[in-house]
Amino acid sequence: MRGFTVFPAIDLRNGRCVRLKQGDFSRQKEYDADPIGRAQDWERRGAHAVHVVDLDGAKEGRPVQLALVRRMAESVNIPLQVGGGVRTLENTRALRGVGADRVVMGTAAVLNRELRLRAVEEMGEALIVAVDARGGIVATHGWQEESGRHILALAKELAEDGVRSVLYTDVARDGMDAGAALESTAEVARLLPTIASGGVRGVDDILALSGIPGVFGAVVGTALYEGRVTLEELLKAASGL
Amino acid sequence: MNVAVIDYDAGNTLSVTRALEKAGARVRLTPDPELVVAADAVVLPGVGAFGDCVRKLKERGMDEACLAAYRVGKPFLGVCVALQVFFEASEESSGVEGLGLLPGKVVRFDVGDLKVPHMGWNEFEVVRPHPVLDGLSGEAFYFVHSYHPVPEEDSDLLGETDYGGPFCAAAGRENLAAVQFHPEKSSRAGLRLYENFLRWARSL
Repeated sequence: MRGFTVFPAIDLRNGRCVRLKQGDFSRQKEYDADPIGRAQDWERRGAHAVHVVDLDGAKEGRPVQLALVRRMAESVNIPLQVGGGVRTLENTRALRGVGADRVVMGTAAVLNRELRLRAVEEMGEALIVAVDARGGIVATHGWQEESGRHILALAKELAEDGVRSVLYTDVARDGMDAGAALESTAEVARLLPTIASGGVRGVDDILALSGIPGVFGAVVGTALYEGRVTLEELLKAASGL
Repeated sequence: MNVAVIDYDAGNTLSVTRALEKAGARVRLTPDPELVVAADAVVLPGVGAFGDCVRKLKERGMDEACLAAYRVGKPFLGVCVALQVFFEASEESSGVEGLGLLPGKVVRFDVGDLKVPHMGWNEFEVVRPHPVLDGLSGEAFYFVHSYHPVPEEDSDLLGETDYGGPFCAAAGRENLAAVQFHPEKSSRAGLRLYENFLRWARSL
């Protein structure tokens, strides 16, 4: 079993591929590739899955880029994991209907336990709950608010509710090229299977994350787009070669 | 080569259709049993529970179309839960009869501390050489499943993957072949499987 997946990130805004710094819409950087060509390029270079964030959706509180996600799903032959503004079961169904293999639900699944239980029941392993934290405290609503809850209390509750896996993001590090949050990621991963996100700089972070029990993947964005590391290098590190 | 992809609300039909088109097929995604029987080759995709899939096939008269397509010798490929549906029964849905084209039943993973479902990329080994699996031994494919078939006849077992022990990841006989993984999500190796299927289908 190949235990560790590197997920190249594609963040969508107005049909384009962009990166934000710390989830702040005023600090956006645009990259030239269109999202479809971008996804195809990641596949061609060996990616085993792609992580897609609908930033317009995150801002509006419902998936906005459905047509684009459909075209991406049709254009590649690897699984797509999609999030951004997923707040209802209808949202998850819409995304799965356009070809998303796994759907990432954030704020809604964190705040609304009833919804979370129904999503687990309906989607099983196709549901990933995004746990975003700033200084150990859960952040919600596109990271623009803090809930006051500690991430480990939340992670424990998610595990009890049957959530199969979480996407853990240290908000302070995302898009900042600051290095992965190893300690807090490891704490969450002790409670349930975790994809790490935010701050992955390169091979060393992948080697460190893939050695943590319970961490089965990492989302990488800025480091790849800024050319600090290649996908091939990260895949090689992840495969333990 | 006209390939019918059976449309029965099974989830991954779109990606299966696209992958077959990339592999060079003219594909018709159809809910019509008559078009399935009339096609040159048939693909049955599948996502979800054994019982749900069988029920949806039966509601549409597709169970009979599948049996007819198999009996007249049409090249027939099953993907994911379709592999399981070709067997007789499953622990997942007791009391539900599968299509019964392959003797044996489907059991839940019993893998100790390993997680179920088995989800992610895993290596595949060919056990019995088959044109559909040509060149695919040692390649990794994308899996998402909690159950796997146990063929009664050794000759029906075509390939295995290891997850807490080897399990049947590909099976078939005569004009029927099926795989537990998702070739339509398995990058180049997956496309190769669809190309292999089309080449095999043309040769039958």
